[in-house]
Amino acid sequence: MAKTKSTNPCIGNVIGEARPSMVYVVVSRELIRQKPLEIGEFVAISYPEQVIDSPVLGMVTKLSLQNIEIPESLIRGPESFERLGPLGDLSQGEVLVAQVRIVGYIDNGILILPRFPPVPGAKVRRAPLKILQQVFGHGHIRLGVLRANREVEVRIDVNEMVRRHIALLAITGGGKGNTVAVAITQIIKMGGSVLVIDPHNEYHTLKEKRKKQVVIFSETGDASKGIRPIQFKLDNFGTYDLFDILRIPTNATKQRALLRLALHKVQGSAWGWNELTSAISEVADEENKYREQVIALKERMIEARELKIFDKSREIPLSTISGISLVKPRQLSIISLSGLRLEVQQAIVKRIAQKVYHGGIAWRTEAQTDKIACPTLLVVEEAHNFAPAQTFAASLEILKRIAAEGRKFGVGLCIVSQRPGKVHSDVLSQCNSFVVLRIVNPFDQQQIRQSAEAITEDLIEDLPGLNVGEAVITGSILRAPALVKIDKFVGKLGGDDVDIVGAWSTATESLASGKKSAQDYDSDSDPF
Amino acid sequence: MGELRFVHMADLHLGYRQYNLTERLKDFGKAALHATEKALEYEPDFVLVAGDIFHDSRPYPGAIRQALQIFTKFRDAGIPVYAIRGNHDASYARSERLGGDALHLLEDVGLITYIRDKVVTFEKKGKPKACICGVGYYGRNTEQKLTEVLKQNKALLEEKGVLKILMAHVFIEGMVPQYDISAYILTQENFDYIALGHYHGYFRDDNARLYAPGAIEHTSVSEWDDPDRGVNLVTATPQIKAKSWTVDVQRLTVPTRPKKAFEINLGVIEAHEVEPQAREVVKQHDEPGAILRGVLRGRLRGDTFAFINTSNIGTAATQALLCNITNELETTTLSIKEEATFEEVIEEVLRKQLGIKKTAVKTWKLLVTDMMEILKENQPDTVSKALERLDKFTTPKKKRSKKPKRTHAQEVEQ
Ligand SMILES: Nc1ncnc2c1ncn2[C@@H]1O[C@H](COP(=O)(O)OP(=O)(O)O)[C@@H](O)[C@H]1O
Ligand SMILES: [Mg+2]
Repeated sequence: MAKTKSTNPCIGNVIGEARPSMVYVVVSRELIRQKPLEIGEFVAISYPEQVIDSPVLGMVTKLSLQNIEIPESLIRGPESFERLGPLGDLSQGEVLVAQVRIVGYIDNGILILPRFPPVPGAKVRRAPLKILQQVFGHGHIRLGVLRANREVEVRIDVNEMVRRHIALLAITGGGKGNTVAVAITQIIKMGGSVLVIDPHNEYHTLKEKRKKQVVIFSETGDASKGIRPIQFKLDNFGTYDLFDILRIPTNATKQRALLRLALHKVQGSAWGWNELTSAISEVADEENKYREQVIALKERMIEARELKIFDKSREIPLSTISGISLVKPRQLSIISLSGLRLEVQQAIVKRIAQKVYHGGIAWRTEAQTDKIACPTLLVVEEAHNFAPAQTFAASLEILKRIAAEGRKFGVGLCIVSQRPGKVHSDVLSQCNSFVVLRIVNPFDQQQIRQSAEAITEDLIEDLPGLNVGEAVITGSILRAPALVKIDKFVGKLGGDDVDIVGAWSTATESLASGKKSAQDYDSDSDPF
Repeated sequence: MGELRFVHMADLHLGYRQYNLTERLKDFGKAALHATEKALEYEPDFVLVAGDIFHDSRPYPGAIRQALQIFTKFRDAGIPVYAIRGNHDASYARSERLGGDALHLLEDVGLITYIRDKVVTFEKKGKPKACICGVGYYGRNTEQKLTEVLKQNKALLEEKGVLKILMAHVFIEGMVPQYDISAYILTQENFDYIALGHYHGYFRDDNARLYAPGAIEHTSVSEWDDPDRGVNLVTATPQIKAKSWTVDVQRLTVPTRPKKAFEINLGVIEAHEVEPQAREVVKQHDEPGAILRGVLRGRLRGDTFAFINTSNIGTAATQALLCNITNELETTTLSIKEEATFEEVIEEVLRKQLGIKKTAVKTWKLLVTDMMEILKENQPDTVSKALERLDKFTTPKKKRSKKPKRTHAQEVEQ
């Protein structure tokens, strides 16, 4: 203790009514103009040594600065201050009060919350590095540093992340994609398996430096670039999935009835669009009706057939030993859904989630076939589209299932969304950890408050004030909640903001020079 | 350069003496011969046999003679035949151990090219080149073997303007519940035609270029829903601009012995009425030379353990080669009595079905009800009660030993 005292001066004292979880600290006046406290900064509060013999950590959650010598009732404007001039140095009246939430103290490597408050007047110091490192530096992978203590690495527990799910929430441009990239590239390095649902083709650039570990799947595939086609067996989709994929409205009862009968007919042997089309005609002939519906259904099938995603006999394998598959140790699988209609995206996510979930059960029960090769993390970008709160999505039920039970079967969820308010609460509330970056919408804040118990009021109030890449991290992936500056991902990310004005001027220049067409510009990696 | 034309056959199962009938052994030979003759009419450039030429890995001379007859026809016409090992005709390990298998033999006499997990090329003057990658039967390990073979033959397979064929003896997803390999893996290397064997039905997926012609004759009833049997005639045309090939696949069917499955619906019936009534139905289905399969359906009244002599029913088909009858009659285990209580039902089962003495029925009944409780939900109390009851069944011996009357064994012990 004595050592810390000499190098680490007291910066304030506990005042007012102290509670076990929250205290007020009046901060030494000199600090105001030198190095004031910041929100999110950690302090160490001394407790009576007989009670707790190590410093107790607290996090600054609110700051207020007053000057008791400036009587507000007398102030009318700048001239009032001039009149106060002769009174001398008014800064003497400044009082900086910090609201500090008690985080706990380390005992045998475990963070413990004290059950009683510190004594009023207790000394408060800046938190010693060593303690902060003990609290935040223990996880498997590094996400960044403490915002207010940049020397302190923030490392998260990947076991907890995959076991108990995680939600990554922020407005667009808040830094979600960046955080995902930082985390998953480290996870695959550890030997982990990650599957990313990528609706905006944001992650494909991760392959550039990781040719072997990253496998991209896209609608058409591109053998020359090593991009594999997304293919699922059509007969793995149910009647309602097909209604959805083909966009047959609920009120088109005859079309639905015809399709249902046709599906009944093809079942039993392998079938694809061809067999289904023939069956539709056959059913209409047998029943001697549905003439118009046959035409309507065939028209609806044109678009879906062109997709090549729904195949008669091919389906991306879940886990294989030597061939391409979704789940493999040390592999990041990116499912690029860009350009696909939402219903089709949802059907794909449903099928993938189903495969992974059933594979997880098979893995856990040590079944012989169709099991995942290892536990896996399923990252769902734009989660509000795949597990929506209000509207329907084919993928909703299975994602709820994984949220509720995935942990038993080695399937972790990482929910990513800019509209947490629109993500189904059954999914969000199962996430044990949250990485919340900038959020401005009050409704979304409300939703976070409801789902993430660990995020306290005071932190939520801060969310609009966060800068890009700054996050509140709470839950079991960290020993204590913290305000974190997430690392900037080293390497290219497809989701980087496009420099619109720059692009316009480049395009104009090339038009003027006549050498380059504006289209050439597009060859860059941006998805714009 | 012109097009390439080839025939894809599989699962000839020569030597299969199905139903222990020599006629069937001949049937398989005949069907294969028919297919061969039909194929020859189209003057193919080459022939693929995707495994299971023989039904057995140690074929009888008779089966070998059939094979010699068939493949000699191709050789005489100057048409090369490429074959792989199936699960029936050659075991990899045994072939290694015993110095070869029946396919080696066919190769030795110059009738086939036996592709053992490698890539061979077909080259003929004035014709485009084809490469044929053949992987024998490896079940679930096919994927690994295939990956190996593809890796070793990368250069050959990347040659431009060559027709690329993959031949494998394997089930893909969708053919059977427990499949060997995902079709996705098979199609990764952009083969122009994937010639499959092992699946006995007819399978084609033109998008994926996956084809199985099916077995040349029906090897089991489950294949009967598709009465047609045959081989594929494939015409591959190079699309120079698109750097790909279009393949046109036509099925050449061969006549096979007629087969017919039918139900014999008898309704609720007394055991002794079954035979005469069923025979009537069989007669109606009789057909010269056919293989018939009738299934008895309905419910037996009265005596539960009545013996139904199915072979006596089958003989009603006098013209057919064979008529098999399966008995799927439901038996009415209990005399039907309206409003019987659950207890009464159990009592009747115990007494009539299991022959338990009237005096013991009560204990048994309690045991049964306890067991049912246990199965429904795990109740520790009931479990221990049931165990006690079970114990009672084993106690009579002890009781007996208390009695002065001694058995011989006890005397010896003392
Ligand atoms: N931790 C960070 N440090 C620095 N810049 C960041 C950080 N996180 C994100 N950015 C930048 O902010 C922009 C938007 O980030 P992105 O991850 O795409 O946000 P989101 O996925 O939430 O829309 C990108 O240009 C990215 O480089
Ligand atoms: Mg993003």
